Amino acid sequence: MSERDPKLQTVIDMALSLLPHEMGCDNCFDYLAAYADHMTNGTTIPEHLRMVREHLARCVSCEEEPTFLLEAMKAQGEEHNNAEG
Amino acid sequence: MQNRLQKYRGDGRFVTWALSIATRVALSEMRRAQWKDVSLDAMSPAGHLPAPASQDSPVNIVYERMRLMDVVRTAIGEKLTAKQRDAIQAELAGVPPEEIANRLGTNRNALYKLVYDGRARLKEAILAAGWSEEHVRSMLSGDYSHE
Ligand SMILES: [Zn+2]
Repeated sequence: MSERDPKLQTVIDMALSLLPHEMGCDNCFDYLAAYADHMTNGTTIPEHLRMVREHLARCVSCEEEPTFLLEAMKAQGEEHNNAEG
Repeated sequence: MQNRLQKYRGDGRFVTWALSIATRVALSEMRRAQWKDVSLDAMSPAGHLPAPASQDSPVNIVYERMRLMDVVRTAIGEKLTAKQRDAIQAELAGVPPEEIANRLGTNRNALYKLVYDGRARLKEAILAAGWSEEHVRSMLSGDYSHE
């Protein structure tokens, strides 16, 4: 076993990146829409939504969701504009 | 997801909230379809965590890294519960957490907590071995310049 085992290094990274208070997936989801609105509007992310960003940075389950959500918002916006125009 | 439908918080646009639910459902279904025929046993090998092993005492940087790896391997074997080990192993193999949760009979949020507790045990074991977080990071990056 090498002293540079990549899997063990990933495990060590996972351990060391632990924060005393991390947001869980459910809480992250509860705030995701508000977070996405701020991202779309380019407004400053309020303090209580910073934990969403932190969660997204470390949760492989949730990290994809903002990308897909922003795409869906964009498509929905275009559809809305076409319907009006 | 049924519960989610009753939880609109009112601090974002309603349409964004509705889209966030649709997005989560679509992603969950995509992941489920991708992994539905893979058994739990088959999930593990690619991310298989090494079994505990022993190495000689450190006499230089390489040996210190080997000792660190040994401490972590031992902690994986002795400090983690079987469920925590399975969950971390499957995550390392690239299995989507939703699917791991599904196979372990839990949900995504509880899985996050399970892995969180496992990470805490591993961190505790690393620090109990006498290293600071900063020193461990230096060991991994090979950069001792700031010490
Ligand atoms: Zn998550």
